[in-house]
Amino acid sequence: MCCLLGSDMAVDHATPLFFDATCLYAATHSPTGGSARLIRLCRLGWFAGWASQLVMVEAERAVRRKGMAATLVEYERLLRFAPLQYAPVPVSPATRYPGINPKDAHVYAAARACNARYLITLDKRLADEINVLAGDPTAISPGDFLQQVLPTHLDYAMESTAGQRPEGDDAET
Amino acid sequence: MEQSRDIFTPDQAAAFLQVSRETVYRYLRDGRLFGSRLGRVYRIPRQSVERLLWSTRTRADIVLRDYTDADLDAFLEADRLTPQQEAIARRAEVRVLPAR
Repeated sequence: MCCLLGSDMAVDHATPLFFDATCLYAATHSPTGGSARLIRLCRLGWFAGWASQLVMVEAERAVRRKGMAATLVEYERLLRFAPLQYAPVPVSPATRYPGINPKDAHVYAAARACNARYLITLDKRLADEINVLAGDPTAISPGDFLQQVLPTHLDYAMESTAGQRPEGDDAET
Repeated sequence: MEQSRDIFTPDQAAAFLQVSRETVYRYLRDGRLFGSRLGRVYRIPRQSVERLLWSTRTRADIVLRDYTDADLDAFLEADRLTPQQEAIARRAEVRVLPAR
């Protein structure tokens, strides 16, 4: 889905990820999908998760459109327990970012307002738009993020190194 | 007091929104507000109240997106993990990183 800009920089627990409405919607419907898994990693301290009130409204609309009452309960539970911080609602985002589709501008503006390194979205059109026109933050799907970015996390890398340590290492010290 | 609560009673939600208690009950009945019924009383998450305000905003400078059923189905499909992505996620999920 994405071209991975800024991939030379490692990520850590403080790296801000901005979750789009598409991810909040998907996380509500599928606890085993990439969105729910990435939000769970934020809860476990791997990243700093962000959203905005406006993407939450969009996600709620999507949940109501497709879901039943039980799904709305799931959505409320997700928001209650997801460790998301809320980016400020931007002023006139479409005017500030004329290259972005006016309907997407508030997402891009909010992601920039919280200094997000990555905008996590399942909307390929939005990702392409941001990566081609703007590029900062990098728009990427949850699955691609898990595959391409998570392995560069400092703690993930340490874990991998520790896991690969030869058995004789302890004897040498 | 309402500033610090995560959960409202209908009366507190009414005070927060500065509408009548009956209006809050009407919002609960027609689904505009999300609430839980615990026995004979309702409790309303603060986030639901705040989202109601945002969804009825008057700011013309912000346009929100609406998705079609086909869009939403495509998002769920795109959310599926490959076996490799699943393995990477599972490996990270076993660790809780210390608060820093």
